[in-house]
Amino acid sequence: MKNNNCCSASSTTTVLACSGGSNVGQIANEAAKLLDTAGEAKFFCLAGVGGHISGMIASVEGCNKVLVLDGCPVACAKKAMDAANIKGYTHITVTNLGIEKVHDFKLSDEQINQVLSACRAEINGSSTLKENSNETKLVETSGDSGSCRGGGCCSCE
Amino acid sequence: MKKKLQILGTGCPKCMKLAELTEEAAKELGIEYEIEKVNDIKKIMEFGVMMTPALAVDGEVKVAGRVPNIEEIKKMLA
Repeated sequence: MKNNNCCSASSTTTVLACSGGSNVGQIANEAAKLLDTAGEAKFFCLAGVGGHISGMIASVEGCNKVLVLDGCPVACAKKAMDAANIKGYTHITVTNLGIEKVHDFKLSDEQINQVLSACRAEINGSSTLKENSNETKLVETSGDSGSCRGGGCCSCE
Repeated sequence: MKKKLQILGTGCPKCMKLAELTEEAAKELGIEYEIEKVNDIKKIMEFGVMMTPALAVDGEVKVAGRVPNIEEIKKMLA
């Protein structure tokens, strides 16, 4: 199947998660993994943004919709995005959903599903979370569309 | 000093358009440059790029996933 949107910004939501050393960081990570596995979002590397890898920052900037998941109010993921001067993303903090932060990695399926639901509401535009006040940046695409030889970074097949 | 301009992409029309506009921008700015088309997926991934086309100037990726207009490209090259 050929994809005429080859090489343009994907319409899929890109998700970046804090993945930190607590239950809430790992719940954020798990939710991001599950969204990617289900094909609902594309999990992208926050460490690459935090590490100021120019290709990763430019790639995130080129995404149509970006969702950033933080475990707790320290908001390392948000700060990494801000430090890279990436704007226009939506943001969810796991502890704001009523999940307490503890240093315990026996993750609860119920809590993961709670975060997944909040993420899905964001992805589908039905969120009522007050913290998600950033407007989603729309990225202009230009040039001729057409198929490349597929694989890798492009979504052509 | 000669700038190294790299067009990252597998050769689709948008990649070619980006290469064309980049050369045009470099010529209009009158800068010395060398341009390389990087179409090997593994090499593209080494830049951390997940969407093509992309433009790298002296090894730093300036844009990915879209074709900027020539004025934007000029700013990236300046």
